[in-house]
Amino acid sequence: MIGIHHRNSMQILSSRKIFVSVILAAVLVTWIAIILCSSISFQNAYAQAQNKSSQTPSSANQSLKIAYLTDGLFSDAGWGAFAYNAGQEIISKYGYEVSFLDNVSIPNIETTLKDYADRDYDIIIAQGYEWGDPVIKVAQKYPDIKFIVFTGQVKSENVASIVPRQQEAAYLLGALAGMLSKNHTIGFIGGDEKYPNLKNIYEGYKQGALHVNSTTRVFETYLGDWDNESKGRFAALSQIKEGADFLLHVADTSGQGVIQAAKEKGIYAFGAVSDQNKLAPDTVVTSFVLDPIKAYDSIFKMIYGNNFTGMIFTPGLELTKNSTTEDGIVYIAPFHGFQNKIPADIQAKFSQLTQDVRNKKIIIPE
Amino acid sequence: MTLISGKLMYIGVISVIIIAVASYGLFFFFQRINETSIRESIFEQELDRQIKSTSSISQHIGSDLRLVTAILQQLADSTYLQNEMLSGDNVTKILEEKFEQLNSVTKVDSLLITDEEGVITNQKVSKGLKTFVNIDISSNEYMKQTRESRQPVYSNGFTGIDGMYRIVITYPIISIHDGHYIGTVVASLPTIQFFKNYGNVNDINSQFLVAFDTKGNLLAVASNELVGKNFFGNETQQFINYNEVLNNLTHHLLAGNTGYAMYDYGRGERLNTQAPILVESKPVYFLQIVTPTDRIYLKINSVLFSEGVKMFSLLTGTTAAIIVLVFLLRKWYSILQDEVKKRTRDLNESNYKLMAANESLKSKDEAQNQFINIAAHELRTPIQPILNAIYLLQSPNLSQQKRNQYMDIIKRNTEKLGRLAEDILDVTKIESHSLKLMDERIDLYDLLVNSIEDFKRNIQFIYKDLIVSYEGVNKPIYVKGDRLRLNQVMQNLLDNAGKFTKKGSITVTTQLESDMVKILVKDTGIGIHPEIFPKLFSKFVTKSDRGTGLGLFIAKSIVEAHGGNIWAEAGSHLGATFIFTLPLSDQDSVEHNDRDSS
Repeated sequence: MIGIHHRNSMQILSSRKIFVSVILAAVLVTWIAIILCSSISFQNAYAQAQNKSSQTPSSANQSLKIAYLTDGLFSDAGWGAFAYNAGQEIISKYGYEVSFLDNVSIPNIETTLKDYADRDYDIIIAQGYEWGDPVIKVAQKYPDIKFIVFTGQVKSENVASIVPRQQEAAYLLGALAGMLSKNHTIGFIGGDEKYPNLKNIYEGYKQGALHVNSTTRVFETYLGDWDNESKGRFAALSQIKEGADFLLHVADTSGQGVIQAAKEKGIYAFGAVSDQNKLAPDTVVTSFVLDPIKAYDSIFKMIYGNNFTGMIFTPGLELTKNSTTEDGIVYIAPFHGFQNKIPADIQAKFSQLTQDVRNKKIIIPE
Repeated sequence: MTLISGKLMYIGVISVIIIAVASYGLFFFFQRINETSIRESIFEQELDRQIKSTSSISQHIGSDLRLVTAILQQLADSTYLQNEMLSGDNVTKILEEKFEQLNSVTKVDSLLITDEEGVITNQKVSKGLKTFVNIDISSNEYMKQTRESRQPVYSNGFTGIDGMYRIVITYPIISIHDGHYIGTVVASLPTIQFFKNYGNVNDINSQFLVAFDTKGNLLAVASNELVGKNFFGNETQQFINYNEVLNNLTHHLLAGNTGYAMYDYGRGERLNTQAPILVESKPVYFLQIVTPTDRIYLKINSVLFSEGVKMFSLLTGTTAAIIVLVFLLRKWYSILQDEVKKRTRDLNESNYKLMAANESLKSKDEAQNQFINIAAHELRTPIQPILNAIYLLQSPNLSQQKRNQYMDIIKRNTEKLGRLAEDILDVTKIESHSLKLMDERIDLYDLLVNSIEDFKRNIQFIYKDLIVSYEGVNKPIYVKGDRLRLNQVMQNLLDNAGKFTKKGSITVTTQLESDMVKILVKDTGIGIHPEIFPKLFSKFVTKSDRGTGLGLFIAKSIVEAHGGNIWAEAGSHLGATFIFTLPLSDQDSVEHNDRDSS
């Protein structure tokens, strides 16, 4: 009986052992599985390829740093476009580095100047009559920087101005209009009355018109706004209504409205500062143009020669664009589509007048 | 035996564990190999797909650029431009038309015409942008190239007047009459907006597109502040941590080659696939598609994770199934073991029973033989005197007295034979358990008195000096039982007493106890021989010449069948007392108790 009992307990013990062993084995296997699984996930190494190369040295630019600033708009196809083109010319001609800024509001001129002066520019070109006084003011504090004011009336140790004698070209346009006007009525629309050079242009225009026909009526309107096409358009329409059949504008973006009105009403217009025939090829007979290629030549020659003096340059008319034999920077644009429409005698007279102005036979007062 | 099986068991368990671990190990080993190869192949697929998509994007851009060029060519070949009408309403109209056409291909924010001097004569721009008529753009490299090569030019990136980074596509206006250079048409494309059409250029954390011009200027890149910067310039190099792999790759790209690389410049690993953008088989721009590889791995991992979950479920399922199976087997094993034990016990029991039955059969057989021998002997004994008497009766000179004497001998022995036959029949019934008892309520007092009277009648001529009396309770005593059989018990006991007393007295008394009645048959005979006292109630035990030796056995069987007991008390010269008990019927015992209590 004891024997039997012993055997039974042994059997129970054995089966319990098997059971525990199997459970242990299952746990062990599961554990190994988890370990393997996780090791697979983590062991999968991301390939790392990361080496640093030596820094490439940046080349220093030894050329002059120029800032070209204007209150005009590069998009005005005239005055502002001239600024941009002149800057581009400086880049391509002298290889200088030029930064551009347009659309500077008049009250911000001084701070803009200071801002650029603080940024280590060698030359600051400011385009616009309004820049004269602020430049003088700022230039005092930055004697190492050369300032050039285009159409300015100021000068100092380090400030020079260029005032192209646009009235000479305006005289020629006035004369042309005077000869071609059927109504003997022509108009002038300017951006802002307080600009003395505008007044000069008007006077030259008027003088030219009266020179060819003393009965010509010359209207004069100032918009007080350079960047408003519709203002220019309404002013022009008003003059056209009064009989004007030739219009000269010196009103930047507003001037495009003048050309637009002329085009609408089938009369003619003259472009200013740039050749604006492209704005309305059948309307814009010609333009007086400032030659961006030569605009800054005289001053840059001085800077080159290290003999910069604060003075006011007044370059006048040249017969052709980029004339190498003349020092003028103002010229009359080609007639383009009007070449064959303007009577030969008028063209001849116009040509003669141009020569006369160029040769100072005709003097247009400032 | 136990030791060996224990050791075997131990080895078996160890083997099972080793096999299980080895199998799982192998399974995971292959699983891992499999996973690695899946990982590699998915990555390869991704890489392959990205290489293909890079190539197809670059082709797409190339074909769009070609389309832009074709539209510019149409413009340059238009009648007005051919007739050197570069401005005016008609030109404006066709310019607008082409501008719209270009914008249906891709984002072009400016379309312009320059004259031969490079001055803008007409321009159409996107809403909100300004036109720049009269601006001289001749100094731009692309204008010079166009003029010199008289071929379309895909410019390097440059910052426009308005500060936006652009590329331009130029097309020279060459007179079809005399071949002179009239001007150039220029379409300007803001680089970010242009390349945005072909991929993400804003989010550095997702797949993004990088485009270069021939000088390595960044035309579009997810870090928008780098647009317009040269890739090999300080700013970009600092951004990419001067990463050599990326630098080499980009050098390779700018040399016009496709390729790919993986690198990490500190913002996570990137996969970069690159291809030049070709127009007319010439590389004009260069494209890189960059993917943060964690995106790819995320994709791969999600695929592998779901596979892993499936595998793991399968594995745990199988393991669980095995464990359950082991449980069940163990359970079945113990059930089986219990069953075997129970069966073995049953078998042993039945073996014992069989052995016992066999033994009892044997002894029964022996008893039977003995009984038959004794019975045969007992049966033969009365036959001899009968035969002798019959023989003597045949003598002719036989007195009447003798004749009567012989006839009496015959009668007596015949009666004995009859009794013997009846007793043997009873014993047979008892031993075959076929003795049937009536179950009726009977008055024992009445039964005892009648038995005594019957006995007296039977012996009046044999034992003339024997006085038989009843001295028990003189009122009805109810018991349950068989009247005839209980009467037989009394006759046997009285017979027995008579045989051993002959002269003297037989007294029957009753004693009522709580639930039974005790009946005593006391004689004044020779008592019981000590030799036969122990087997007094066995068969064929008698010292009498008249008895069958079955009377007491039968009496005992009947009393016990009624639920009573029978025994004898004796001394050799003091006579003998036979006592038996019978349970009172329930009713009686109650009545009796009631009476006692009253």
